[in-house]
Amino acid sequence: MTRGFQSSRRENLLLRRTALAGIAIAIFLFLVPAEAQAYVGPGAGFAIVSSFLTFLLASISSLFALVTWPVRQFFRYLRRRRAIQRAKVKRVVILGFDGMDPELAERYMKEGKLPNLAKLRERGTFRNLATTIPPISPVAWSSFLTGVNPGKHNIYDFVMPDRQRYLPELSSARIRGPKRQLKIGRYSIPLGGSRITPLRKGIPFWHYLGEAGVFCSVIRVPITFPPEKFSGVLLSGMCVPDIQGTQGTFSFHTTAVTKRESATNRVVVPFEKKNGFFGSYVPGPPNTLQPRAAEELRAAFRVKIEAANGRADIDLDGQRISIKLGEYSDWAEVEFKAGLGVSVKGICRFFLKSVEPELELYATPVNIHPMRPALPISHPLTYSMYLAKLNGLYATLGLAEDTWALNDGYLDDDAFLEQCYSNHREREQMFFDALSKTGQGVCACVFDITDRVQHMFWRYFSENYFATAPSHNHKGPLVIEELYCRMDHLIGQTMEKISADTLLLIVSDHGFKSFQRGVNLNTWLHQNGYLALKEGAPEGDWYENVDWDRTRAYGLGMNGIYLNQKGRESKGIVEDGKEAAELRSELRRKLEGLKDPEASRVAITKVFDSHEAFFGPYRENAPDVVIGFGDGYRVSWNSAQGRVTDTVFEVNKKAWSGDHCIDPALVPGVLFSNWNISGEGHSITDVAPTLLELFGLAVPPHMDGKPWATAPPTGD
Amino acid sequence: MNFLLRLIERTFDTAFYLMRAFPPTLVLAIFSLLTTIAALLVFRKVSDQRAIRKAKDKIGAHVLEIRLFPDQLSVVARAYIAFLRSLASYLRHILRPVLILFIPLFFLFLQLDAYFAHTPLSAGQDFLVQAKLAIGQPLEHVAMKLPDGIAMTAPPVHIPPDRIVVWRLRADHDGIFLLQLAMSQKAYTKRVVVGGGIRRVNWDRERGGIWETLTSQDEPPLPAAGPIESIQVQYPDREIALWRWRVNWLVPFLGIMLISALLLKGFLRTEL
Repeated sequence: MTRGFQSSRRENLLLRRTALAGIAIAIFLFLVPAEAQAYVGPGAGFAIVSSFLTFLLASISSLFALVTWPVRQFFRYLRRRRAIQRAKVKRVVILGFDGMDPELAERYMKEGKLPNLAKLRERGTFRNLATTIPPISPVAWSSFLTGVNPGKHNIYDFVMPDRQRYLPELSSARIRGPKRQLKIGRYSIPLGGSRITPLRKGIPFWHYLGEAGVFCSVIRVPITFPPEKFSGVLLSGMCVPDIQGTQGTFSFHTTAVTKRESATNRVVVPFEKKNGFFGSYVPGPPNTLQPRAAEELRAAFRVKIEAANGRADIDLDGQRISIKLGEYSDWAEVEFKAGLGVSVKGICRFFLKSVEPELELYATPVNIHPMRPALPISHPLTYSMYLAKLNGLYATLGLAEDTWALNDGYLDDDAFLEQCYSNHREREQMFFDALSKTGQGVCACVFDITDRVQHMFWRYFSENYFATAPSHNHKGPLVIEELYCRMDHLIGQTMEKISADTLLLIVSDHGFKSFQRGVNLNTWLHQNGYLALKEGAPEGDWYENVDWDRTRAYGLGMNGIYLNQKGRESKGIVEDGKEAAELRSELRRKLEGLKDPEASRVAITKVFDSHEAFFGPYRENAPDVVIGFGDGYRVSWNSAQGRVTDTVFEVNKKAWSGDHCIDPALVPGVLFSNWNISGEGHSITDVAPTLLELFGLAVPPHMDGKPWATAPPTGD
Repeated sequence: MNFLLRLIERTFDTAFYLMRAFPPTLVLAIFSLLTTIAALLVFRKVSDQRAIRKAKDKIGAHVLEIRLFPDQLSVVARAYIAFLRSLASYLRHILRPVLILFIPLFFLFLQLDAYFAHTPLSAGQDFLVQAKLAIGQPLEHVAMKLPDGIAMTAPPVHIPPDRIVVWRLRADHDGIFLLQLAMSQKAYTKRVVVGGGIRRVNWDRERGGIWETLTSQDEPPLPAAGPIESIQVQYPDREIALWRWRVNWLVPFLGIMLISALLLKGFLRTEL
């Protein structure tokens, strides 16, 4: 017995010491956990073994990938064999520069400022690339990715008319709440997710390539929201909404106002001073969980300023964000709590505009959080998470460069540019990562900065400077020159990473022209008897004072005139068929060649009848008449907002001073390539069929584009 | 050092005294929860949270990378190497806070072990006390002097090869008793705890250095040059009822720590 006791005690002692060592290890392991949920998917473990689990998972995944690789390669080969046998290219890299203008490119190349583009021109290809009717980014990029005219992809503008209410709605996607909800007291609990209906029709080229086993990485190509499934990865671009569901609503926080002010694309929120802090809130989405709530969801924050040092410390839900005057913060996570433990997360950046005499703080539109997306913004869903984890948080909003904030004077030139280049750096990182992952197949990335900066800085090209006063240290016309140089540098970096068996395509969807004077189409329609106003009704936005029972046509969007057609519009009066055709013809006749009496210039150089310009199953949704404005003109701001004013022509006084929503013949895009592309009349619609043919696939007969004749460069 | 140890012991004694009416499982849960909160706060304070977050994100990115691009072996291989590198970076970033936390947690575990590892003896039941003598010390020279309330129920047993003497004793009521072992004209004591719920229990008094000083509970180590190497009391092991199982206290303690850390780390804004 005693021997047993002694032995037992020795064991106990050993056990005790082992236990202490174990405890030490356990403490260590406990402190080694990682948030597995975020990176290995929901339900994964946490804490003590999470590092080990992650390690295990990564190892198993790698091993699985390794072991099953031959099998997958076999099936991939079966799918790809045709593409492999007939493919003329191993890899295609497409750099899309929204709005890169061929004339400017030519000019800067001549001046020796774009050495890489010049090299492509010398050894490969440089041509104008015909754009679409109308030459608007969502339209042109939709044709780029589907290879069809708008009559087949159904995108004619950023917006299209709701023909019941005569109001604009987003043309690319329709987002609605869940189908069913459970109402408990003041709560309305959604039974299911939001319903997102893509309105863009047609099949992108990457679907065909994916089916044939050709991998595609697609980054920020416009009109890819909601993301559709295919064999590859995709991050949605233009038309991804912000957390409020808009195309970008920024907030501006200031001590200069005492009441909240809202307008399209912005909310101005006052600061309230309390205990030495300035309190405000970031406006969020409507509270769908409590539909009767008086206000939208809000994320409160408070600011402490150090006026002497020109800095501010923002306390946003426990996050401490320090920013200096004239600087942006990093991306901050914003959580909107709806109740019942439900919350929506987004991200935004702050810009400290002023600390004295007024505190002024700008907050970007709240972007969808790429790691916890409220709406899907990538395919697979984890791709947006992967990019965020790899490179940090990034702008997800379709139109992430806040042109409205500069247009309305809430940001100055420098702040806007800094925002643009910051977003651009994020996209460069994404692109180069995608390029490194796409050894074979297609890597396509569209950069928006070229469009946004040209829109906002074209005014500096004009000798008769008319737009918003520049900031004190602006670089004037050099901004656009520098922009082109930066893009050229990016192209150079790309060229270093590819070999001759990779086809490099540099494409833009349209070029640019000056926007000096606006044409109010609705005023013209009113003055010419096509649009009637209610007697004595005040001027208002969105056709508020229009008498629809006597109106035959109305202007909506950037280039469109729609007939108030019986059976299509809720209060339509124009009969379909002959009457509609005659009206279209009449409008075309009267508008084409319309002169601006003040400037003695032709404001409208071309007018398109939808029945001649478009063909396909969705032509019915097109504007009945598409206006091609002349150089220097565009639809006026008032007309675009459905407002009838006294004069047809008005001076554009906004910083938004360059545009392309004009006659498509005046704003072709660019086509550069390291390969030789022969032939004539290259169009953006040709890109998709060209890619299919390059990878040995038959071009579907419904595609309107024609494959280009391509050949690898010869010699050096 | 001794002062510090005594201070820690008194603090824990007070805490346990205040919770004397609670069942052991609840006391354990409270300590586990408080430990988690404190550990999370300290971890947040002493670690580079941004770097940890970044390292974790990189780990996540490379795991996702393997899953996103499984058809490209070179990508998978690169991702796996990058994953290992990120994991190493993560471990490097948490090393400092872990080492800092190790010190208080070590003492915490020692204290909790003193309360939860064993139960006090029961009155009216036999228990064994064993003394191990130093080399060369005759076993028959050691004598046990019993306090009131403790009786010997069998003559001592001598085990010369192991230099051990074992006594079988019994307490007739609850309380804390001090046994005295007399040898070479000196007395060596050993505390015996009988009854009373959760109480500090030290089953082993040894001679020795720093480790023994640290692990001794309210009893200083035996003199290093003394004739007795150790005095041990055979306390029963305490087992915590966990639904249908009876487990060591560490199991629920660590379990509660893990779960509460998962739940509280977001609230306490601690990146682990």
